[in-house]
Amino acid sequence: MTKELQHQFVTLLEKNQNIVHKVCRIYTSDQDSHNDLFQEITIQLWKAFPKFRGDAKFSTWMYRVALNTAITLYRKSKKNVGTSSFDALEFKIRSEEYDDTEEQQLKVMYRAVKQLSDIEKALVFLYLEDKNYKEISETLGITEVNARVKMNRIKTKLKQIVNP
Amino acid sequence: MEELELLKKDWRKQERASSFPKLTKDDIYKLLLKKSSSIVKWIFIISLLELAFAIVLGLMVFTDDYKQMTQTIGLNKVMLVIEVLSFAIMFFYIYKFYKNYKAISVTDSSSDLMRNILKTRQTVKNYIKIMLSFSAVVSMITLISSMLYDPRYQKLTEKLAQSMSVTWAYVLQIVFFLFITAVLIGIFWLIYQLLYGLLLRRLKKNYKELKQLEF
Repeated sequence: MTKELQHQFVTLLEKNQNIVHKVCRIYTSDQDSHNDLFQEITIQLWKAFPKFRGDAKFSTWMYRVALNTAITLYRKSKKNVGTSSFDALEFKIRSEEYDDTEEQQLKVMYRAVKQLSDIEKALVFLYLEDKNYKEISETLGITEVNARVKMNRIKTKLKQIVNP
Repeated sequence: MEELELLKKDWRKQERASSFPKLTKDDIYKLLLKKSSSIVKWIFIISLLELAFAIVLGLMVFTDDYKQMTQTIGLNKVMLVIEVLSFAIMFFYIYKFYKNYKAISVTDSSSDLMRNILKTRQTVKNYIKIMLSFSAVVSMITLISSMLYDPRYQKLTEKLAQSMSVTWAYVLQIVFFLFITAVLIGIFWLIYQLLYGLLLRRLKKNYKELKQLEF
């Protein structure tokens, strides 16, 4: 039974692993921390998996566990507090064919997101993942109105960072 | 916001370009064998140690001296009540801790998860506070009754009384006792704050940020 459950879990996680990688990318700064957080999220997902009833989509359920682990359960090591692996993204962006202004804008935006708080990053992450305000509010445990208010504040904050 | 939309477009592009590491099933199986180092685990371990400490402290205050003294001054019944009470408090808090700990679920919303973790912490913190005050009171009773009835203390009082009045000798002993107690509690509190400050600072900050939205 456990083996069957384990197999089921590993198959689902392998298919949906990008969600976890993306959360790691938002919250960590280097490959070691990325792997470390990935490991902790995997353990938390596995621990919670017996209670996963399948009434929600596995991916939706994963967003919640992964974000909760990153924001609340994970103990950051000192070196990666407050930074993120967006730097790595910048290199990738540069190597692709973008027009200069767009590239420049993106670079500044990634840096700006880096400066946000854990909660703000969670909102931005869910926004980037195209989640609606209902899902965002349910994941974080705030009202839909407050999720909108917070998101608007983040947009203003990002604007200020980008255009000081 | 134009820039955020631009970011979203890029975010999707990153995913399509599969810029993420790709773990195989075997890699994931290996990860399942690793141990968690979540703060909930740490809080659980530390809380157990604290509960054990509080229980030992609760048992330690009922020293032979204390028992003898209460017997001498006819406080047998009071002593029994205090002892029963301390055990009742102990079981109540262990039950409450267990219940709160069980309520911590990573599949809750972030806000609920944080609240449950803080609630579990608070339970143990309250127990520690109660046990510390309780021990201080019981020790105080033991000290006062010892001063009054124990020949060893009487000798000490007599010695002190050679250079001051008897009342002052008593006061001095009580003040000394209070001072030692305050220092011990102070040191204890400092370690406590440091430990939980490190462990919970980030959680508290995030919880506050979520809660601030409610107003």
